[in-house]
Amino acid sequence: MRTACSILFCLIAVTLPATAQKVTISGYVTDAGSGERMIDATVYEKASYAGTSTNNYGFFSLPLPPGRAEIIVSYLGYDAITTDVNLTRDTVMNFSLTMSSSEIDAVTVTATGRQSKVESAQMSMIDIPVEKFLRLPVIFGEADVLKVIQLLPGVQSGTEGSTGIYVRGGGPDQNLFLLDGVPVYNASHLFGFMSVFNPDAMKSVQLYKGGFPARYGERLSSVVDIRMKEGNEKELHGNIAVGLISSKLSLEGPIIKDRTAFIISARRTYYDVLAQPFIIAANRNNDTRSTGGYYFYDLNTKINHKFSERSRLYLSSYLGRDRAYTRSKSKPDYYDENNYRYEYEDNYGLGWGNIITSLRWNYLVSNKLFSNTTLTYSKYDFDVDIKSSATNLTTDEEELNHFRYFSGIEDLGAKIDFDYYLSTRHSVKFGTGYTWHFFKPGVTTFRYDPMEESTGIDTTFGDVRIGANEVILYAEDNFDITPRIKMNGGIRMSLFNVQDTSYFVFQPRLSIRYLVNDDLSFKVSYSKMAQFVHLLTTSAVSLPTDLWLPVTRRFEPPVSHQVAAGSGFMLPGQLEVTVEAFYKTMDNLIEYKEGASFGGTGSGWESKVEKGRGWAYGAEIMLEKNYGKLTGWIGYTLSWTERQFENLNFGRVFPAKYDRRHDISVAATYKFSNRVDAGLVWVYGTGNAATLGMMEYPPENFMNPDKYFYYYNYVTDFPGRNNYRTPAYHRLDLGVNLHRQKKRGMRTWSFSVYNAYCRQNPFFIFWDTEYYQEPDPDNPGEVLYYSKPVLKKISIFPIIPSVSYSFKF
Amino acid sequence: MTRMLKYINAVAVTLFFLSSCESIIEFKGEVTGPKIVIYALLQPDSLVTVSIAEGHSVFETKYEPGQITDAIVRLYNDGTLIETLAYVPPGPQPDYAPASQYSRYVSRDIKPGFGSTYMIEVEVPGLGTASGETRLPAPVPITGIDTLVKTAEWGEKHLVVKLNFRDPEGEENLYRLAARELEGMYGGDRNEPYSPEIPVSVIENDVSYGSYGEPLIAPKQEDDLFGMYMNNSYYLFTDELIAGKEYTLTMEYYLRQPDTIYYEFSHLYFMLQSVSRDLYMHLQSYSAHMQTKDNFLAEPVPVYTNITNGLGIVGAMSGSVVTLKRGDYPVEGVYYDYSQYDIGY
Repeated sequence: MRTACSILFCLIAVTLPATAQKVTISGYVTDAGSGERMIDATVYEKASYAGTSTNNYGFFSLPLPPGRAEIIVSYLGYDAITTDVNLTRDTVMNFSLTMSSSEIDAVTVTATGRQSKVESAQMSMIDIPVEKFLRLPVIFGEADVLKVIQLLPGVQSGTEGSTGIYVRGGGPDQNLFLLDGVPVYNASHLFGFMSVFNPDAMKSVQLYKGGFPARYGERLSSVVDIRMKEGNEKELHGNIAVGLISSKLSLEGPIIKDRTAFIISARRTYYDVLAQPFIIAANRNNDTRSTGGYYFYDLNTKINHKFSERSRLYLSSYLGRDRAYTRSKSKPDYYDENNYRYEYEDNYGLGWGNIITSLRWNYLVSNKLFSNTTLTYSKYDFDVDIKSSATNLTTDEEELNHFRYFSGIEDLGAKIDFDYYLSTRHSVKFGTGYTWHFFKPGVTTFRYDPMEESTGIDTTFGDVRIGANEVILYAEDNFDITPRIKMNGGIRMSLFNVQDTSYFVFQPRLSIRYLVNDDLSFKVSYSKMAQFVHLLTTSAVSLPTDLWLPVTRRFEPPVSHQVAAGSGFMLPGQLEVTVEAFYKTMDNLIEYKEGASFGGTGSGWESKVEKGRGWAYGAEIMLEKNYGKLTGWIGYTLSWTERQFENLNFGRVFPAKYDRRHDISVAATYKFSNRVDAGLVWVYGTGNAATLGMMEYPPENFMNPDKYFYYYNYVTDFPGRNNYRTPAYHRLDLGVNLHRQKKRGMRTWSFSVYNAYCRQNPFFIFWDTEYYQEPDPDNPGEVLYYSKPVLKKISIFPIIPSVSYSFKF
Repeated sequence: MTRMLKYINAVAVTLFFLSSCESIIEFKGEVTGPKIVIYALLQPDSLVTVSIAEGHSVFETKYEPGQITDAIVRLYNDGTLIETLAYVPPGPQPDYAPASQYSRYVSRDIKPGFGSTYMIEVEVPGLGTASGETRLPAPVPITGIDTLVKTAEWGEKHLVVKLNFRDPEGEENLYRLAARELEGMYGGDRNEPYSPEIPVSVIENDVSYGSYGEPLIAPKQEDDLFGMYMNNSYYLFTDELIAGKEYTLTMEYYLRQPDTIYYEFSHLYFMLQSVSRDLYMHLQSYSAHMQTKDNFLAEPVPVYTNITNGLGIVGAMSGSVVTLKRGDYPVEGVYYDYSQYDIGY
């Protein structure tokens, strides 16, 4: 570690003399229409190609030699700005970009600059433009960022329709979802079929699959960094959308023009409301009135205030909750043998959700040093509430049984990050943070109030709450060593302390780019990642009962090492191509012991899981077209993912559940005019791995005394875990968006068809028996009955048309 | 617009539920042929007995279990053939019982000894040859037994039985705790004096369940809200937490006092069995397999086998026994009824 620090220090020191003869131009790049600060906008000096890009808060700092300079500021989909300046001393300049009226213009402008994917040292990162993915067709008409991420190379989807992602052979717990820099522990609504991220509130989405910058950590396989919009500083705008599942409302605008802005975005499902008439009709003739339903809602809010050009404060929050419930109540006309009148009531409820808050202060210490101080809070909880009561209406006595179960995780953190721009060739990011984790693996309360005057029960049992402390420190150096060789190196140090056990993990990171020419570069990267939480989950489905638990003395922090090599190049027609190969190892992984089937409480969880390792390797290619009427990408992944656990599959290597040899995705949108655009998604993937029995045989007969038991029970012999492949998965989604400018805003009707050719993709497969009858050839007139084992699949999503309406003002 | 959306909603939901379906798909894999299944449990006080059966492909629709009478079952001791076991036909079966699918081959006079490796090789015409081997683990003595009566919840009286043993040092030891009760129950009216005309029914019960609650075997799981813990059906445990140490196993039962005036009795036999690693893995995996086979959410559990070119298990077990006797049995002149003896629980 000392060596790595020394190298980093030397790299910083070696560039310091160069900065002495330069002046710095710094400032913010914003959207002219809304005042939103723009992330990753490019700022460069035309003659020397010396350039930089804005950080997550729209800030840039570009040291240049004194004298005249032609500064170009550009961003995808916006008209670039070219400004002549005479630099004699450090200068602050803010730029406001206007959205391009024609996407073809954007080609003309940006083609003059170097292409970012070719030029950047960062690899295995994909920037997902929010406006583009909103045009893609989606199931139930609900745009979902995680479902778009599933279309990217290197990312496998989980079960059909779900939002689970498996990145480069990693598990579902190895993805860090950041909402405005705060971890989100449960990223799904509706039992995994929709993500918690409301696209109306999103500003940018970045996916990192490898080559992780040192500022990111705490998960092995990916980082999904989602930034919320800040709110329009200029005028009030809004969006109302009505879909098949949910409706949404977003509002944003200034509180004090150009100084304080807000955004609020909310959505809620309404199947529970729509189902009520049917439920009432079904109960009409029953003695008991029953009802039930499911809904979720979420609310994103953000407010920011600009104290000065140097100082800005943001307060953002997310609140989301899912709830499934049933209620039944008897009609109050039941009499027992004593002629007492009784009323019975049962309530069952499941609830889960996240609360996420961050308070962030941006402060420009100097025109080269940008600071960001953040306080964060993240909470995920799950609860089961079962309550039944019997009320004697004659005597007004009540008997009550009330059972509740809670689990969850809570984080409280503080961090400070700095961006330091040493020279045009050299910038540094560094920072530190502290997080207090608070795990609630499972607490149960039970209360029984009897109707008689006997003693009731009021008890609580389950795991105690577990507190943990985490401290991180990182430094990241972005350095143009020569005009052709660029490096992003860094170190991240994590210290995690839980229950008298401490882990320190040193995580070096390195990405190097070799630029062959303006249109071609080669890159290599290495990342070591560690995480300090385990997710207890089944391998089959994602449920809200999944439990986050801290590492322990026995189950050490999972650690991954990933190397990747690749190339970025441009093809004629503004086609960007990235090709990457990767190899990743993962140690200290956990899986439920064989036979475990369902999540529950965390009590004694260590006895229920096994420790093992895994590895994944493969290659990915992505062909992107970001300009013009036709935009989109084609992705292909060839990969292998394997696991080995001493006590699973008898220690033999087995393919991971989502090992998928081939994965192809095509996502395209075509803008016919300002009034009509259409989208298409086609995906193909090798079938998932499944464990399928091939033989049957009688069980042992020397231990169990019930001898007739053996005649009716066979043991199924599985040649190995995940020994079979389900049929290939493929699907075509089509959609069209019809826009019309109205007096007060833009209305859009979106029509889409999920699984347009109604492919019956397997949700799961199983053996079954089919019964047949046919004429007996040996006995004319007689019928022969026989059965045959058949392999069957269950398909859940056939062709699904959907429609949604939105009005943007 | 709201009315239109409601209509579309209803159509979409109907389409979804009508169209999500199950269908037959083509199996694209290798169809495996029949295999020999061998079950042998070697114990120091028992003649070597091997059960053989046939494992068949899931596609074998016409499979009819039957006796395999033409197998050659060889027993090797440390690599030397010591006997070819003889086929023993099954005894008389009730009419309603289907044909036994286990074919028994029994040694004339060989009982396994400690320190040797035994291999069983089975050759069946048309199925080839399969084999498995094992070593008999040394028994671990129960060094003490203690009992106490405690008052449990709701005022119930419970009998607590404590068994002491010392885990041998320097080796991995795998155990099974088994308990059996031989019980005599008088069938007459207890308000009347004992009548020698009325029988005392003799029943044998498996009472190993008393070890549920024992931390090494099946700790109480108050938080088992969703039935996620599997039963330790064979009462197996390892010495991982007690390696080389003395330990007291605790079993607990509802206390039922045999009424000795009526010649009732209760003889409890507690067996601490040392099991071979292969047998331990087989029983554990088989237990998990059976408990999860109908749960589509669970990852299927393969059953462990140590049979080369076949299925099943060749395992070994030895044990020590202590007995807790309340009441005398047999007592001369008492009329005992054994008609329910074989039924068990």
